[in-house]
Amino acid sequence: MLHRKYAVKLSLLAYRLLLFLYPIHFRKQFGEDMLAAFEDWLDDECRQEPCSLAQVWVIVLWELPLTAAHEHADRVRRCSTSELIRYTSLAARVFALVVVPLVAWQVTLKFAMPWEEQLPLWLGLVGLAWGAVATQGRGMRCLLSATMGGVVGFGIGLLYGIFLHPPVGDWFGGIATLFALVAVAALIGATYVRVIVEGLRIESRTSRWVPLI
Amino acid sequence: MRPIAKKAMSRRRSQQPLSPIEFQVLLALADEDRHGYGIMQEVSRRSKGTVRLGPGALYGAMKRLLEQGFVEESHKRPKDDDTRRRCYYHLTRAGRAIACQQAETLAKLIREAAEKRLISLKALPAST
Repeated sequence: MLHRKYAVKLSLLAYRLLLFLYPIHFRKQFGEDMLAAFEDWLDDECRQEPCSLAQVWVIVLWELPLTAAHEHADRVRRCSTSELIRYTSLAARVFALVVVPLVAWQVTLKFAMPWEEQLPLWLGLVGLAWGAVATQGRGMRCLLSATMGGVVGFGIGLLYGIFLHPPVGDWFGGIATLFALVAVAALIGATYVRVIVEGLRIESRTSRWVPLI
Repeated sequence: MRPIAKKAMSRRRSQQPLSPIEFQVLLALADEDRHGYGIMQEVSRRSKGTVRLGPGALYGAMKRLLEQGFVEESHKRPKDDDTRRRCYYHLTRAGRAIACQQAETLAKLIREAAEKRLISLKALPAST
């Protein structure tokens, strides 16, 4: 009986932690009720012989990723276009200021590219960084066109490098995958930061707009 | 989200058929107000254990039903309820109407299937 009690307590703790997979608004609205329903369910299962906590967990672990993903998708779907552009621009900043220079530096170092061959690559990078950072607050069209210009410049630089140094082409697939992964991670991170700040802003009940991005 | 966009989304959603889980929740609330676990139990009991809703699926559906005004929080508590804070849910008039509409659609489909001899009406399981 004692081990069942511990199993229930542990299960509740684990479920409380798993609830963090849901978006903050959903968790605030239903988190406590979900926990109460889960606790009632566990209590009910423990009263039966044999006690089938495993069955409860199978159902919970099956539905949790699906429902959490659905709620996140729903949250993103409800974002206004300007919100989405803000998330994307933060992702572009992380991408432009941290990842791209690091990878470009590694590529130029590894293949010992002379500076005149590096030039288009770095010019593209500057365009990308400028597009992502410097035009903030000067209009979305300007920001988007500068970012796209930077991306094109960087792409041209990379292609130039590939033609002059064929081994760079082998790197390209890996780099592109890495870029895509980091961009997606940054986008998700930016969404979370935004949502957390929004939640704090609602809690503090101030009408002042908090410029995050 | 802007109220206009929310209204438009709600209107668009109300024209769509209910999902099976949403319909199950409305059915569970048709006869009395229930809390979350009460709904889970009712769904499981009515389906003889073939449909098991977890809290995630239940409250995901509940969120959509609350937004569309098909369900609302009930402030009445049964006397035998324990002291723990639980939220009871109540089926609204709009919720009852949409559940009736969905049930009629399903009944019509069953009749059509029977007419085409895909199913025998006598072979349908008796309701519990």
